[in-house]
Amino acid sequence: MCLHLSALGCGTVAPIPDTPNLEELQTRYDHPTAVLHAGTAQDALDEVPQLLDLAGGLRATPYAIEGVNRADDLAVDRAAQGIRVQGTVNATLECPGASGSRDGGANGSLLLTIGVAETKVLRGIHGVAQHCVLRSERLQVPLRVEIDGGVDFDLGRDLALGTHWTGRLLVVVLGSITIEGVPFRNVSGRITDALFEHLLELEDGTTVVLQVTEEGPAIRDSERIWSCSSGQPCNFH
Amino acid sequence: MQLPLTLAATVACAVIATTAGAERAENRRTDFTAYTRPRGRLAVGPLKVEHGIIDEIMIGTFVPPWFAFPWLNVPVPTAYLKVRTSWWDPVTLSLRGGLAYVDSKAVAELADEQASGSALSTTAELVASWRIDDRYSVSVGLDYAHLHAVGDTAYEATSVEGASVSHTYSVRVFGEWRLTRVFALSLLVRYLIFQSPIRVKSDSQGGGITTVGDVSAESTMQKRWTAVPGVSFVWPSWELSAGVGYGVYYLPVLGLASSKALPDIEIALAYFFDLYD
Repeated sequence: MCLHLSALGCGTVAPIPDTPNLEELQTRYDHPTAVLHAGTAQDALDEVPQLLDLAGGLRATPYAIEGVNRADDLAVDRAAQGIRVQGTVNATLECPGASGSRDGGANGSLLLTIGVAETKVLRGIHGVAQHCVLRSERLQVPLRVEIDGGVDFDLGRDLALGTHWTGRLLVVVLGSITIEGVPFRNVSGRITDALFEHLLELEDGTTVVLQVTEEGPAIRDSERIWSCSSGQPCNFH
Repeated sequence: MQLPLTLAATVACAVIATTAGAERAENRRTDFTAYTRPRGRLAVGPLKVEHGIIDEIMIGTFVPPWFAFPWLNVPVPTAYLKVRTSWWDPVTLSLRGGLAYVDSKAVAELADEQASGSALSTTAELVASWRIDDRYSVSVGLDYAHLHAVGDTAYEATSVEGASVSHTYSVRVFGEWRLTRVFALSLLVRYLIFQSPIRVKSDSQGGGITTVGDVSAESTMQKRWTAVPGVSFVWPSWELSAGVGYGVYYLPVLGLASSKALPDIEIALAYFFDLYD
């Protein structure tokens, strides 16, 4: 790895970029407002027939975390005790493509703008994808995912320098995400290793959270979680 | 007949020696004061070399950085010029400016990273010294240090590991109490007025990820005060001063200040003689 350093002798603080504030969206994910019964639960699930594909596609986006970790490494040298670090790190990631191997930029790129304030990586990160092709899978079947346009991330918390991120990632695709040729626009998802969540606003303005777990699809409303296994009506435990 | 003649010759020699000693310019301390070396004097020591061009102008250099190439691969040249007034006795004003050039190879060694560019450190001091009487003198000074960029078209200079600022402003008071012709006590007190953040632009490539960073760092626990009591000795051709104190530590040559309080050792040793009258 080639690292170049330069220092400005101006003695001014580095600017902190504007970063997306997705805390309200996180709250909406945490507290859906709808109250469902068995029939409406299934109806809600049917509103997103490609839920599994969407889950598979958005599960490719945590690739961006590699850029966050690299930004953390870049700033951590200055994060000695008693030192306040702030500024901006722009990370450009070569997208690995459907085959998983980078091809000198032929699979597009993802540019992340990462803010650092009070010696922490700010939780909101703005990204711009340019024909970024990623690899994911659904039920162990490979999926080709392409992202174009804006994509924002929320780490869930500001990240102390020197600690690599783990946790629950909220992704908002402001542009388009194409999963095996099927485009989705302006979608969001919340991702952990074992759980995918997608916020759905119903016709009456209330919200539910569609989930994909190892056991299959589920729906979380304001009161309970409905398990919706294939071929069975949704029911709660 | 021989005895009186011998006595007369001895007295004459003593008078001549005393007179010569009295006519030799006084060797005032140049550290932390407004004083300079008298015209023609050369003071050579393991830490610095100073020469009085005329009574009011002195040049000097710090010795150890010139010999830093075993560790830094290149020497670090340093130089300073000091100018003082001579018409306001017992008050003397002086202005001193200094330079230190840190080549990119030295920077790379200091920063443990590859660097393209060099650094130039500039220091300045404005000092007023008041010689109250033959025993007491006090000096008040304002110091400035700056580390900034020089370099090629792609990158400017670099960070120096351990340095925490790019601008440093401080003030100091130095008092000396001469107990005998040879021995004196001293006290140096310094206060750090301002220490600017250090700003770093960096980029890295590897693993399919390119990062460009623009970050700044500043101390949140900046200490301010330094106190260094000391002693000094002045012999006919030698001078020695030493002090041990505690507080903000100012990097020699560069003049940059630490953010933490550290033990502070000030020492100077020199042999001086007159190159010309």
